[in-house]
Amino acid sequence: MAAADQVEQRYRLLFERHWRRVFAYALRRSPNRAAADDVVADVFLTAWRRIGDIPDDYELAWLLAVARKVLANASRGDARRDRLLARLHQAAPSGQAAEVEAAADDDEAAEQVRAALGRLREADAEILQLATWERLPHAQIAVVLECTVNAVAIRLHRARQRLSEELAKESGTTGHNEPTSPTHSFPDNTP
Amino acid sequence: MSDTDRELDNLLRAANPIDEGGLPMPSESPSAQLLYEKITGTPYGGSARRPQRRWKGLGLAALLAVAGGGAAAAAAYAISSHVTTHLAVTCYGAPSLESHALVVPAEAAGPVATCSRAWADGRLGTGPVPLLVACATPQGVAAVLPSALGADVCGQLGLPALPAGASSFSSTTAPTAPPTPPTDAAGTLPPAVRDAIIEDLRSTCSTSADAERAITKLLVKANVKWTVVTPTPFPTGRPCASPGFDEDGKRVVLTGIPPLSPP
Repeated sequence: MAAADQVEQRYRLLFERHWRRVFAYALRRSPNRAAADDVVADVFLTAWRRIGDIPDDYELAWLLAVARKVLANASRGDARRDRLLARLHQAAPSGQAAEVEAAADDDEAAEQVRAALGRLREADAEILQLATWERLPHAQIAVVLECTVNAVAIRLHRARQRLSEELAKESGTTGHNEPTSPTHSFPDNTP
Repeated sequence: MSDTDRELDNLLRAANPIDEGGLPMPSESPSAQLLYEKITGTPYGGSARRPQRRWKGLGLAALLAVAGGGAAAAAAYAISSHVTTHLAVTCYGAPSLESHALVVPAEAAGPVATCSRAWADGRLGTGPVPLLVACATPQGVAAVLPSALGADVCGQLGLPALPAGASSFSSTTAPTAPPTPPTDAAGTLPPAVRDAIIEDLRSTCSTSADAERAITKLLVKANVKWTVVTPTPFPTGRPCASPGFDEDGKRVVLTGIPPLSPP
């Protein structure tokens, strides 16, 4: 098989496997469908140009790392959080919005959790989302965030505590009572 | 992970605003397939691939120019939605790409105006000229289709819409203006040269070789350091050269289009 065909075949598989995940990631963090489409286009164009740089075992993490940078370039400071909140309250645009609307969730309890997430520091919210919304194990999160696996575990633990505190404030209870000791272990979804 | 952490994670998962399972797979999403085709230059469906990678895909050039620049991503996508085949417009008789269609020479007034005339002449149907909308096909050709008021015909077909007044031409400079030497050190193709190329190919159905010769002559005369390429042989039924302009690669890229229907 010619080198060009191999490249195209690998890209095709990459696209088939991960387009939906990247699209979902972009939708969650973009103000509307069009902006998400732009992010996805940028991610997969970068992937095409750098197909040889993408590690086999970390394809999705690599793509999400690119998406994260694209989004960061497109926003500044608090604008990103504002967009997330806006996304949560804004209906999808017309046109091909049916795909998106079918996937949207408007549950009130969920809304409270998202609001609490929105009050967290951006880094805390991001790592929680990567672990739960994107369902990434620690090693993959480390690739996206460009940090060590240990750092992921520590940051995730702290982020959970902060979210728990935020939720407790809302409900007026003590909420999450996990110890804050750094000796806490993090064996969960680390591969 | 403690039970409390698990509970918290479950809450978070339930708060996920986008249920991925509700999103289409690429095989079900026209926009995903269009993106794939724009990037690779190959059709998404089926196993038959074109013989070459088509990095030189016409709309892709603009997209590549700003890849990696997140702030510019929106602009890049918009540019990629433009028509790149400037000589012809395809006018459809119904809001479907499978309907009866005419390939007609593009007029400077734009694709909708071009097809309005074909409708008015009774070549696409009888009765009054319907509301028309213009979309860009993955091949970079303007497709004009009848539409009901408020309908998103382009969106339904998975095609980017063109602005109502969009011109099939890339410049408003008079096509007959003589080529002028470039003044831009970055090597931008002067609009007059671009229009001269378009006009030259518009007047006749040129083979790839003839078009390359004629365009090279124009480029040399205008002292423009661009090249002319034909990435793939013209397929059967599309024997006439149509130019695309790859600003990044500083190339005129020729693709084959069907012979123009007589006006």
